[in-house]
Amino acid sequence: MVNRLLWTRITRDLRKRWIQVCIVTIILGIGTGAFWGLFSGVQWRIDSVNQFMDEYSLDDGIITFPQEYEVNYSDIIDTMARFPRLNEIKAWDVRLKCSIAYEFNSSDGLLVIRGYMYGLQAKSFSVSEVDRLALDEGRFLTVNDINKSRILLESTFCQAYSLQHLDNLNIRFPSLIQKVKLKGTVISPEWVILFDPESTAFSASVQFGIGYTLLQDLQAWSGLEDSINEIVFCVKQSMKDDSIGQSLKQFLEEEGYPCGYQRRKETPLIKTLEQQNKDDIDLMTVIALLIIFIALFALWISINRMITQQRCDIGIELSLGTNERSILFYYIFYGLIIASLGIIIGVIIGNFIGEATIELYMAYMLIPNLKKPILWDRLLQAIILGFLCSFLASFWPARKGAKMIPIDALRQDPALGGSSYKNPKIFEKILTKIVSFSLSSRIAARNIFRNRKRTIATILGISLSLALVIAYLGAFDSFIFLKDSYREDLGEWDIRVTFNVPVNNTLVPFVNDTRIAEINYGLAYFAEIQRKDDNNNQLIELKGYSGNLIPQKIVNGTLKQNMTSIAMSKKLANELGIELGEKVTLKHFSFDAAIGTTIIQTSLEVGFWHNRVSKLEVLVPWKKIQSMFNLTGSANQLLIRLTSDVNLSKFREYLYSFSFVRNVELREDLTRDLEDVLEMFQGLMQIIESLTLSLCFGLILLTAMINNSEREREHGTMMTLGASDMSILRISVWEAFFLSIIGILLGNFLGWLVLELMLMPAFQAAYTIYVIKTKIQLSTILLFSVLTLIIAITSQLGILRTLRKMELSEATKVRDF
Amino acid sequence: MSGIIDDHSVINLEGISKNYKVGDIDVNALIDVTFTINQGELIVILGPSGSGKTTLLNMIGAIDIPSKGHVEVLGYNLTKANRHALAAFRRQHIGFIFQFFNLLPTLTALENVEYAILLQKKKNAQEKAREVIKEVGLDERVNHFPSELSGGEQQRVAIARALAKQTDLILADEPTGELDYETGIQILKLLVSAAINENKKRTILIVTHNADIAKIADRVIRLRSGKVISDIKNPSPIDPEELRW
Repeated sequence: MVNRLLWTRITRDLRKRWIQVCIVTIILGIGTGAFWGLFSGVQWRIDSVNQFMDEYSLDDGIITFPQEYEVNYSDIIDTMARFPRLNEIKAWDVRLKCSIAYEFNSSDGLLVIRGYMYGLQAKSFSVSEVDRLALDEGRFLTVNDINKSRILLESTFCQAYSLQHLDNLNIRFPSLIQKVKLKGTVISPEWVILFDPESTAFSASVQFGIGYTLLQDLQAWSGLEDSINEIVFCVKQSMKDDSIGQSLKQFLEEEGYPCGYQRRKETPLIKTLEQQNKDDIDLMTVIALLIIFIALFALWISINRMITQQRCDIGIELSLGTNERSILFYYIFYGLIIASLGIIIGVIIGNFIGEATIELYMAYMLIPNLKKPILWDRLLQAIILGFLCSFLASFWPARKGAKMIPIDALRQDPALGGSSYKNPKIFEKILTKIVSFSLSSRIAARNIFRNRKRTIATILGISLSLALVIAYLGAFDSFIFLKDSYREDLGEWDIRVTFNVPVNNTLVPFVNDTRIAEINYGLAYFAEIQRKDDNNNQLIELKGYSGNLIPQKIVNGTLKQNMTSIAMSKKLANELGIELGEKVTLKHFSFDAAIGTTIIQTSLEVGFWHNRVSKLEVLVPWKKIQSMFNLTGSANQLLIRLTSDVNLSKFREYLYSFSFVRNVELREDLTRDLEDVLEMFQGLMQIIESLTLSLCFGLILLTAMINNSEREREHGTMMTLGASDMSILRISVWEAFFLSIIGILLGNFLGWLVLELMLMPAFQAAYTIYVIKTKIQLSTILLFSVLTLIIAITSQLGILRTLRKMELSEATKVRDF
Repeated sequence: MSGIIDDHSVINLEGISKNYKVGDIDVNALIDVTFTINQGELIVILGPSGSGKTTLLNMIGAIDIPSKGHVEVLGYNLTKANRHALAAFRRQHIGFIFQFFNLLPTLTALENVEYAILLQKKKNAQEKAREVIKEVGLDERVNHFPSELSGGEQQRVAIARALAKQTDLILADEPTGELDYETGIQILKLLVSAAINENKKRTILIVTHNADIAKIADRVIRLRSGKVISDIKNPSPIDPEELRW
């Protein structure tokens, strides 16, 4: 039971130290708020994704046919009818997936965006199955909608481009432009398949549109009558294994259809999302705990100082017969009061942080607009953590104070702050000697070693704050470097054009266009790399480039025309356990309009490592790849450099007018995914940056205040001797400078460590096709180091106010016991 | 007591009063104090605890400002001076010795003395400091920190600090208050010799509650309850060695 006197004492103590109390409660508030807010944001995202995944029927599957291999619709229907386990499948359907570019008539001219269009038959799915695919509203199109051409578009996409219900939408397919009437907008989970296996960039850009229409319509628009390239199915009951899918795949292969099978649960997207969930939680845990640690330091510093100042009072209490438990209780209770105030602030701050994090995710993730509940369990965790911090911060100092011998406590000179300077260690002497530019700097250096525990706590607090910022910004810099490398990889090319089919070079009609300065021909295919066993290897992009004009950039020399070896990414080679000189089998898929798809196997020696940012590219010489595919003189991918002053949009429109052109990408398109990642990164980084810099500032300010209050008598003596305010300020500034320099050096090192050991591996695991290198820009390090230093130094300016108000006669007195 | 200003007066106080509030209570630390001190005098200001003697010393040392009255020290009007002027005055003209030494804890004995000289922007501060430290008999302890010195040694460093400034006025607030008898005698001897060695040009004020110490003074000013109750010349001051308390 807290009695009246206890409350009186506590309120007086709080009032006396109100500035310190404010700083500490704000720091603790930021700590608990950050914990709750950041986790709320992440947890909401995870819960949304989990809900989405639950609705996504993860046990269902997709049979995919290799790129450039369209299966005849009628044939596959007949084949499916013969599948022995068809009765275990509740519903199945076929669809065609096309890569398209949307076109809008805007005042800016042609706006071409990548996207996917799915044509789904929706014949076999009943309404209940359709609902099971988690449409938020509306329905999939069915055969009843034939002759009413319409497209279902994802709602965020529509909002971004202000598309209204019943708007006309021009869809540009590789060969045709079709005007299609848009009717009804729904949110479909199927949009997620736009994250196709070849792309691992997490792109939530609204420019990735996804649309659904009837199969027949899409076949007609794309000129791919009777073609499909996917089978989707729902199983009758929840499957513990994926035997039906595997069985169906085997069946189709035996029937002569090369295909792949993916359980929805195992699509790269789902795996990416699951991994991202885990990574986000891990990352937020690290960030939140670091922030809480800093708050703990601040609280510890403040309460420790308070107990030191009150040692005489404690001595009096002990002499009067107060027991240790009462003294312990008082300071723990004091700490809990501060914790309570801090937590109230934390709840408010955390709410804003959570909202900001959630808004960030919503801007970059195409997740159905679900409710944002308050995560009570996380809030409770944050509250418990706040109280735990205060208990830990107050218990040990209080225990030490309570266990003092009364006369020792009574004799303690509060003005010394419990820290006289004596017995300097050797390294302290050396350090002091190094920085003794003047008497002021010498005093400052020795001041640092007066209270070693507090000095270590302050340095750790500064360094942890800075480490967080450096680690996160370093990750950002690494991505920028990746993006720039990616661009650099492309050299000076302005446009990459991909064809549907290989075209003989002489038949490419635009090669003599005067707007083109240079063309590099290439053949690009997806290939599997196999060693002696038939392992389940990922698809690798096999590329060959003309070495005639511009040599292909690789690590050791250039890709020469007469080479019989391949250049492989070192990272990929390490993963597959491949050494230089080793022969690997390339299984690749060749498509010819006349012949159809064939699978060719070639064995080549690994001759070089390449250092391009995409790990999945395996480079072979131009002529070699042509001969492998029996496509001498043909290309399916062109790199084009234009002359100056060419209107890129119009040129792109011109290229799309050719039927064999599948995709036209400008330079900025190629790095758009990375830019999307960077944008989202930046948003989250700003939140973390402001939190940690506020903490850093608060901690330094608190330490400065405590140091100054301890040194009142010294400062009074100096002023009595005639020292000016500025000369006294100089000592404090030096002290802040030394502490900050140590904190900055340690912080940069810790930041690099966190980046190298935690963040980079996580990002590399998430973005597997890229080779991401750790690159922290010097400007990043310098900027935040200098900022920390400025904060440290300017926080000392408060001493001028103290000096101005100082009553010298009081300041130079020792408490006369 | 009237203040007679003559050509050799270094301190001139007229009608000095100091009052302040402690909670709701008005405290009159000094009431209408007036006197003059001449150059070269060794003055003891004597009084019991709470008589206002330290407050008076603080006024003279420019570390406190009177509520009423006029303070002139070494020709400087301290009552009208601003903070920076007061700091400059203390720097150049006052050597202060505190009861609790008030040495800077992170400076060695030598550096504490050196600090005071450096404030005056004088050259060869370290050498001068060494000389003064030697004078007070601490040349073997120059590199020790205050926490490594005894009370007497610390006070000797404080005296050295005051002497090193070569000021015309030294103010000592209970310099022997924290010391034992023998050490106290040594300190007083140093102070007396500081006055004598400068051909009687240096003026020294010592504040104490110990009436025996007053025997070494040229003049004793007694205070009680903030008022000067007597101001008597001592016709035959004794050597500190002869003191007994």
